Amino acid sequence: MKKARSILINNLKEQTQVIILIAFVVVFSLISPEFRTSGNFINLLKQVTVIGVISCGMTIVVITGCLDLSVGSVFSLLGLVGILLQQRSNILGVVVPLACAVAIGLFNGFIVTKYRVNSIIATLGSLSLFSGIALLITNGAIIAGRTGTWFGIIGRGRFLGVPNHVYVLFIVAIIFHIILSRTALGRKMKYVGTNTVAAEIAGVRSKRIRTVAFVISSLSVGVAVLIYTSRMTTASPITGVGYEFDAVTAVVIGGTSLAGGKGSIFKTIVGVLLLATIINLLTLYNFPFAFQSIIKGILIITAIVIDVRARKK
Amino acid sequence: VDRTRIRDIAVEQKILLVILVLGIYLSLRSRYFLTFQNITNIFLAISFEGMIAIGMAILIIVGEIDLSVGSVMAFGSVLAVLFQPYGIAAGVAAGIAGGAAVGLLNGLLVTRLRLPSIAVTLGTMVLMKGVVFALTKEHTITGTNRSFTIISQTELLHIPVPVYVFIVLALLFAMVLNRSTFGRDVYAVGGNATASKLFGIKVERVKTACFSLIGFLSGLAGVMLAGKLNIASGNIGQYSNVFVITAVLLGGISLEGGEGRILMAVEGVLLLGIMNNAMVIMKISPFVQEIIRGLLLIVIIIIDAISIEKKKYR
Repeated sequence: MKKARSILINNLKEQTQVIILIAFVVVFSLISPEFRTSGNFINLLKQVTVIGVISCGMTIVVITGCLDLSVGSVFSLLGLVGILLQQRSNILGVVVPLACAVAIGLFNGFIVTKYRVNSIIATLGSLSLFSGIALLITNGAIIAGRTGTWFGIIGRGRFLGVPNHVYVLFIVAIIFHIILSRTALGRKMKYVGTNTVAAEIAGVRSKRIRTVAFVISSLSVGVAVLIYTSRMTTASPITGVGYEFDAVTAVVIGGTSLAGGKGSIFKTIVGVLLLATIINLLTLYNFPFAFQSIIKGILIITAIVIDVRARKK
Repeated sequence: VDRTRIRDIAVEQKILLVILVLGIYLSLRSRYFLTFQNITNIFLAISFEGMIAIGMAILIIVGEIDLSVGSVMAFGSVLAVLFQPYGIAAGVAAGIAGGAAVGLLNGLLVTRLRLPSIAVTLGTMVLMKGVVFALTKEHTITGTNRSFTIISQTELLHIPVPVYVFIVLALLFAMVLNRSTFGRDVYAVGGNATASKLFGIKVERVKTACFSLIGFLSGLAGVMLAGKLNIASGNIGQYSNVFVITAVLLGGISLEGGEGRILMAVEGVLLLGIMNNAMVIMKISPFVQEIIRGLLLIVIIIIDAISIEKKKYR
């Protein structure tokens, strides 16, 4: 009996974020009639798909002990590339952004791993680089693609009453979850994040693993871009500004450690929903936009404090 | 004078050489470059982020980093605009005190709770940006006290005040690092924190002081910036962290910590300032300028990483 109870308590401790999320949803539903409508819940899910997919990729990078701050400007850039090509051909509008995403991931991964530079500062550089390229492409203008084609199927279509892009988020999450928990690649990622030197001695090619992580991160930005362009059929060079902080916030409040080695996609999804629930409530109660930024900053710091405390024990 | 000596000096002063070569090239290319007005403009443009770079140099030497400087600068300028109805001194004091307070907060979070500074200051960067947007209601706010601009628009010998403030601060902190116990402690902690602790240096206190200092300087930079046009907004300082970190590393201060001088940071800032000026003179689009700035940061940290690696094998 005692043993069963301690297992239960340990499991509950592991799932703090889930409990907080459930508590939030229950409390908010009780105090706000607008929050508990089914329309609002679907809305909430619709709002999180883009950031959710990006956060799944960010989780992989964070687990290998790095951070990718370029995701926001890469999002803007790929969106423009996608819409520019979609004006001529839908297929190019889908394929080319994904191909560019792979190239960008290789670029980031190469810089960070080849010279062992700090990933935060390196991707701060590529943030500036890609945002400059994005602004340059259309000279700062917003562009629109062709509507009324099959291009809108991901963003505007529904299946069984649920928007298609919600399924996309689930599929991405499941694939990434399988990579992390069931494959050799996922295990190696955790080794590299826990202790790079030890992993290398054990024969893991840490540089290659980290590069793959960066490619996965950019590729998930590419998928998020498809959701966005498909839904809006427009793109602007500043669409993705700040997405990097949303993704980092979601990842850390989900409980994935910024120190690397630990974390899961499930946690990140919980983090994404937690963040979205808080923001949703702020919006419902007409808090100014600025408060979102304040809350995110406080959440990032709090999550780091909790994580560092937990690792010390 | 033998040849190796000349080579050593050239390697030592490479940034100064680059500045010189770039300066000569630009003055040949544009008649405008080497005018008193343009040189003053270059110095005025770098003076604000230059003040922050002084703090960043000290912080990097002590082995930490601060990504929140741009948001803190915006915070300082907003406070300066909001508090100036109570007098110029109140505006200046509020901006500086606000910046120093955020720096202190960063320092306490890093040292008391033993958190990584790069992650903490990423958090305060987002947080303070939110605070600034909340204070300005996401608009550009204009100061009501017209005479507030005297703090930045006043000129001595046709050179505006912020330039003097930057130069005086650079000299002051160069002396502090070279001559004072605090300076010695900064190098010791950055070189080896554990050993410094054994020698009785209060590592946490030194680091907290460095964080407070960069907050103070960012706040001051914000105040001076607000004094330039007497406006403030949340969009101030968006790329300041990229500019300042690039400048400090460009000057030759390594992220490894324990080494470097204020003069190096000043040289880095000056070189970046001249490059920005050159890009404007050559009518390079601001978008391309952003690309170049990004590439430059990437190249600089790669060079830094290679030189750290070399040191290890020597």
